[in-house]
Amino acid sequence: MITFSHVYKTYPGPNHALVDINLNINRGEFIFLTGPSGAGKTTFFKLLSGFDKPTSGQVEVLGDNVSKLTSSAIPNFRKKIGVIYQDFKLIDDKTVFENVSLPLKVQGAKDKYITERVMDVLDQVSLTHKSKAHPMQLSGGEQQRVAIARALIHHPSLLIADEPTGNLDPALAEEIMTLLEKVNAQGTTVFVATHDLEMVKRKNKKQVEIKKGIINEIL
Amino acid sequence: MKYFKLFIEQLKYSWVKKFSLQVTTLLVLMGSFLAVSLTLLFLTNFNTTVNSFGEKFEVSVYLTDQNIEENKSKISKIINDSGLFKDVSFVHKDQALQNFKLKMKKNMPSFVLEEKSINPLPSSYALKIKKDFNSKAGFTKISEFADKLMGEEGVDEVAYGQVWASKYTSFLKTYKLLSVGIVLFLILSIILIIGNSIKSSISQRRKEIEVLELVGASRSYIRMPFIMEGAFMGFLGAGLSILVTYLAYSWIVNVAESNMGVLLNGMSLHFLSITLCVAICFLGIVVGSVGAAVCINRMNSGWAATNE
Ligand SMILES: Nc1ncnc2c1ncn2[C@@H]1O[C@H](COP(=O)(O)OP(=O)(O)OP(=O)(O)O)[C@@H](O)[C@H]1O
Ligand SMILES: [Mg+2]
Repeated sequence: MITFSHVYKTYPGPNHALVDINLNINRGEFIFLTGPSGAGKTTFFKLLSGFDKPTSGQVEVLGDNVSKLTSSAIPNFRKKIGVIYQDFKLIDDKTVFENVSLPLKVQGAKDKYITERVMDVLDQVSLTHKSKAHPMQLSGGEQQRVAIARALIHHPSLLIADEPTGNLDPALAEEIMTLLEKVNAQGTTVFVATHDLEMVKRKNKKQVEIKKGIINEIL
Repeated sequence: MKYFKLFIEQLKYSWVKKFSLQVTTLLVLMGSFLAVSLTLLFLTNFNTTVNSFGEKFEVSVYLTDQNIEENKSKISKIINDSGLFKDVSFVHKDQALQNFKLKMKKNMPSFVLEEKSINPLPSSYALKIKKDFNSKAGFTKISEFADKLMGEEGVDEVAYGQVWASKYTSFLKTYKLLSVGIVLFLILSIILIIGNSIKSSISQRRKEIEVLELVGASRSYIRMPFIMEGAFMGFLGAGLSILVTYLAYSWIVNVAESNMGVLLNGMSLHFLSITLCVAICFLGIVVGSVGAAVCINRMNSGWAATNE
């Protein structure tokens, strides 16, 4: 499902953000990615989601060699995954409804189906009442939930969440984690980066720890 | 249909969010297309005028006064054998004088009343040239023919507007070349203008494009609306310029007819043909899409999010 072999990512500097990453994740797993700030979590997710290429090594996701995807093959790869970005990446000009609908819209889904799905996922993140608002009019936690809704709307096989509960209060964070577990229960592989070690302990899931670009696998 | 909706959305973005820039672009675009339309309009009328003039273009052969009848049959044969002329008419010097008197009668009656003494007018041929004189080769033939005829006995003078004709031929060539050059130059600048406008549309929506790419939008999903916007701008610019050209043309014709009806006599002006108008609009669409496509192709794709 996910295979990293000898993956390096070096930013100019040189800044060795990821060093010799080797990892194997199976379909249907729920994994926490932990580590201090600047450890390389976001960098790891960027390679995983086809947002960036590794400096060297192979990244294989859902049967695709992500680092070798041609620009015409990338859209199809991205349609199979859902990503919750740490900085949300919402479009300010569009309403919550339009933002959430994007993944289905680019796939050419029917309007009626899109409306159904959007209302469904907005309900799951408790934002139905904000569907006509613009991202700028929302709180940080609300924006985060819009990003989550958008990542879920097209039933991705792999869900990548970069600190999806970072801006939420404990109650809401718990609600979102429960939602992610539900999505996982339906067969989606879920990969969550978080600083919340308390919660990681409580959830008792597979945990991958990353420190200074080096991975320690913990079970 | 899917793209049409995106295109309408894109138009809304451009015209609502950067209205003044859009208007400026459209005006500049219109100006460029106006220059194209006017060049073509001028070419159209120049061609018809010159062609109608070409029909009237004549070679005059003046004969000496000796042995007119004898020389006439020989010269007629040479003229007919040359195959250059479609209409040959001979005017005897007596007839010429008669015509002359008739013309003068109105203006100077006293002149006509004068006693018939000597006739200063020569006998002459008026030769209408077949259409192919328009080419350089045709002109050379006529020139050779004139030289040959000058050597014949009984021929006094052959007049065919030598200087004018040669100037006309080279002018026509230069003018057509210049027009093509101007139009090509304008097309190039139109591509740049539209490309620039689309570039600003793209940068205006850069963040959104990145997000679209991240949720798996295909190349064409992202690009098509911009290409259609370019095509639309081109079409609008071309269409409006034709409209303006038409208004200017009607105004000129109006003024010309009321002020110098005499001058225009026999010379008719034409507007661009429907075919040409459609062609200009089509050119707008093509050039607009090309302009948009060129600048879109410089935009990164797929990995763009990281490479910028
Ligand atoms: N685009 C970039 N250019 C240069 N250096 C970068 C870039 N992105 C990240 N880095 C560096 O790579 C290292 C890892 O960063 P990364 O964003 O992956 O950390 P993180 O684990 O996600 O941290 P956080 O928990 O604060 O989000 C850091 O040292 C960072 O400065
Ligand atoms: Mg991060």
